[in-house]
This record gives sequence, structure tokens and C-alpha cells, in this order.
Amino acid sequence: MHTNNKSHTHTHVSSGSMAQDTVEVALGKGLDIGTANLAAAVQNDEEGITVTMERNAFLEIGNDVYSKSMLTKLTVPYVMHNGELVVLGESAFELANVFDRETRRPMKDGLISPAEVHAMPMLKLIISKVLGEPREQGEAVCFSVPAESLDVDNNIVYHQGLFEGMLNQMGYTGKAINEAHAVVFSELAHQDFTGIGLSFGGGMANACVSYKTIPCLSFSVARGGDWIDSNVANVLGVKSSRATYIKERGVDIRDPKNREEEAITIYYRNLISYTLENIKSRFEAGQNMPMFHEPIEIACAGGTSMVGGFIEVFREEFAKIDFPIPVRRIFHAEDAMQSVAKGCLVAAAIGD
Amino acid sequence: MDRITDTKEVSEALTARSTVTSVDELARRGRKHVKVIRASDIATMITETVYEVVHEAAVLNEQDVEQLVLRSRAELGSVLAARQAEAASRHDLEVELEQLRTALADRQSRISELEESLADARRDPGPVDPHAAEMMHHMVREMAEIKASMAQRTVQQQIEPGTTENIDAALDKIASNLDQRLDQFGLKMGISNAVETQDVKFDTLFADDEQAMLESNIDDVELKKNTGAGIAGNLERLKKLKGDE
Repeated sequence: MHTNNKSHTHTHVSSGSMAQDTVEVALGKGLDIGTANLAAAVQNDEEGITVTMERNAFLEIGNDVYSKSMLTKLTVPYVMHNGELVVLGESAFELANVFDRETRRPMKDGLISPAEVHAMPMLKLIISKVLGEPREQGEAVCFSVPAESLDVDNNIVYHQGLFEGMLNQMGYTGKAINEAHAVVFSELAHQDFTGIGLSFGGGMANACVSYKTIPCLSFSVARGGDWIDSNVANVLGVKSSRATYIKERGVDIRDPKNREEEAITIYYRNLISYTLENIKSRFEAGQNMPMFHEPIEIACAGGTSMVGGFIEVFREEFAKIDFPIPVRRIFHAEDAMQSVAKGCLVAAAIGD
Repeated sequence: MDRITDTKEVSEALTARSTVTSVDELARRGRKHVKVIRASDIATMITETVYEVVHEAAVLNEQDVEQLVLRSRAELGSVLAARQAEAASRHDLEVELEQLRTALADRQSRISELEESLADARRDPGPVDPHAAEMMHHMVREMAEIKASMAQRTVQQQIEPGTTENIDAALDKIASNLDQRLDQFGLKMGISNAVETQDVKFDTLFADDEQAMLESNIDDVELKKNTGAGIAGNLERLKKLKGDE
């Protein structure tokens, strides 16, 4: 079922048949602009969604004909920028680990990195690739933005305006939505979009208290996967990219197997505990909080929550604090990496 | 009809006409000493006076005296009702006056805050805040409203005219300074904004990219795609909440 009045006709050719089925696919896309990953979600012609993802990173390598030729043959995405050969996305991350280097990141702590002001062309290229061309001029795109942080001094004015301008120039109509609010749209439909959405990203952990789609309270803490990686890298004496690789290859923080996994576990527990304490104190001090007559549900999503045992540890840490709002259930999003993009798609499709 | 009954009625009339006030309130009004007399004593005096006056009027017989007393009582009743209405109206006005005094105190406090803000802004203007111009616009509007409210109340003689003069002068001064400040921001009072501080377009940040035409093979690269459950259920719920069905 497609709600948006605008739709795009997609012709589907059935195999073994000359018959062509014309399927209406609703316009609108969701874009998760994350510190670690960029993901774009779009409704497909099989009544599901398709999410295209790429890592938000790049790496400069030596510019020579041989390198460029190899990258082209291996279909490794690259761009020539200021005379440098720049590898983009996941390939940059893999290469960095091979050469024991650090990738460069256009975003830091959830926002555009002030140290990478020249990274805009690379970022725009990656976003353009994950989004694709607009199916119609001015097609709506809801993109995620973080909330302002409790523990650092930041604001999202420039960040939001920048991406709106970027998307408008690409031929889209960009509209921002809070990242954790997107999780509510994606995961709490069965609760009439009432409850708490948590997004654990690379740069930040975002929280949103929602009552029937209305975001009553949104905020973030400036700790995320990158914070874990940099601390683990410090204690282990390795590069952050290496720490990321170790973390993502499969760790269960309930049962670390070696010194590296123990370090990851320690910082994960600290991250979860820190986030919960800040959430609790913010809720206790919060004005305009709705009175929940029924216990609510908490949905956890985001790439940083993908580590093994995350939700179990989260529940353990949650049980230690006296949370001011009654909670019935804490659950992990089924597709935690895609949840924000999916929620943004919901917002774009509803057409508000 | 007897003197005791008449005295009692006059006493009740006096009580109804009187207001209760505390010693502290009297002291606040500057009354340090007051003469006190019982209402019953006054009532007795009035009754006796009426009876003596009537009795000494030899031309009146007893029936005439009674008629005179009845007429006096009726007249006293109507005068009393009028006095009670007057007292109620006075009370309402006193309450409203107190409210206006409170509002005036609030306005004066707000003016002090605005003056402080202006002084702070002068000392350390800092970087231009895109929302500061809007805020100043709002402040000047607010002061204009305060001024108009003061003028209206002065006309209604609810506030001493002299009280508003200083406030008007302070408001004028602040408004003038804010106008100068707004000029610096490129805004004029009463004229639509020369510069839109909201809806700043960032499109031009990427304008040069069109000419740059970076060499890249990204169009030939397939990115990782995942499929997921559809959003039809989410949209259905949203529509229900928004009452579209």
C-alpha cells in the first residue's frame, strides 16, 4: 500500500513471458546520514524496501596510472580530487586496514567535521551514489540529523542547512528529521509511535521520547562507536580503523574471548551506562514530558548496537537505574543498521 | 415599633455599610491613631435623636410620628442599598487597581531586563546571531505594546500620569538603541526584512562542484543493497493517527 499521492511507474518484466506488469512505486526516499555509514531507503516494487549503504569514509592513496587502473578493474570506487587519488567508502576502510592507516572521515561526532571541510565533494559523491537520481524533480528525501548534545556544546543549524542545500542541488527536496525520531517511525508503529527510540551511531547516541508521533523530547550524548574505537585503539596501541575492524568482525560483549574483545566490552558497557545515566537525568529534569498512562517500549537501533549481546547488556544496565518512566519492553530493531533510513523513508512517504 | 427594634435595625445598617480592615493595613496607610466607637452606640444615638426630634415637634401627633418613622426607615433602606452598591463597586475597582499595580511592576521589571540586555550587547556584541535580529524586532514590538498599554491606562486614570513619563522615556531610549542595532543587522523597523535570517540557502556552497566535474568511476560501481520489510503497516498506522481514514 502506498500513501504518498505521488508515485513512479516501474515496469517489471516477468521471466519467460512477454507480459509486462506495471507497478506503482511511491516516491520519497529516506537517508540516514551517519558518522560511520550512509544509508538510503526506498520502497521497491515487491512491497518491501531496498536500502543502499556505504561507509562514510575515504582514503587518499598514491596517484599513478597503475593504481588507478587497478582500482578501475577491481571496481573500487575512487575520485580524483586536487590531484589526489581518493578511494571512497567501504573499500577505503579495507585498504586502511591493509596498510595500517586511518581513514579520513567527513563527519565527526554526528556532525560535519570541521577538520574535513575539503571532504564535501567526496561526501556528496557517496550520498549521490546511495540515493541515486531523483525519480522526479523535487522528490522528497527525509534525512536524519542528530539532536543537540547534553554533554558537549554543539548545534545542528549548519549541519542541517548544509545537507538540505546539498540535496536540493541534487534535484531532491530535503527535509530533516531527528535520527531517534526516525527509529520511532520505524520500530514503534505497533505502539502508535509512542515510546522511546534510541539510535546508537558512530558519533553519537540519540534519544527521542515520542507520543503518538510527536517528539516530546530529543537529545543526544556525544559518545558512539567511534568513541569505543578510539579508546580501544589507545589501550591496545592500534589504529582506530583496526579497532573498528575487530569490533565489527563479531564480538559478544557478554563473553569476550581475548584482550581485544575485553577492551571492547569494557568500553561498550561504559557507553551504555553513560548513555542511560544521561537519559535518566534528562528525563527527570525534562519539561513538557507526557504522562504515560501505560508502560512504554524502548527500541534500540543503529550500527553500534549491532555488536553481539548489546541488548542483553543494555537491559542489565537499565535494571540498575531507577528510570522515571515505566518501561514494559526493551527490544532491538530487527534491522538495526537500516532502522534510521527506514524511519526516514516512512516520514518521506507520509508526505508531511 | 419600639426603640430597641429601631436601634437594632440601624445597627445592622451601620454594620452592612462598614468595611473590615486590619490594624496593619491602617498602619500601612499612615494611620497611627484611630478613634473607636461601637456601632451599637451610634445606632442608639441615631434612634434617640430621631425620636426626640419627632417628639419635640408638637404639631405632630403620635400617628404622624409613626408615619414619619416609617418613611424615614424606607428612605434609610434605599440609601443603605445605594451605599452597599457603591461599596461593592469600590471594592471591584480596588481589586483591579491592585492588579494593574502588579502588572506595572512586572513591566518595570521587564524594562530593567531589556536595559541590561542592551547594555550587555553593547559591551560585547559578539558574532552576529541570525536570530538576534528577530529577537530585537520582537523586543521593540513588545515595548511598543507596553507603552500603548501605559498610555491607555493613564487616560483611564488608573495610573498616576507622572508614573508613565519616566517609563515612556526609558522605552523610547531602548527602542532607539535597538533600532540602531537593527540597522547594523540590515533590518528596519516597520519594513520587511532586508535579509532573511531564516531559510538561508546553502545551495551555493556546492555550485562550484558543477564545474569541477570530478573524475570518478563511482557510476560503474555497485553498492551493497539490502532488502527489508515494507513500510505499509507503518504508513497505515500513521494515517489512522492523523485521522485520514
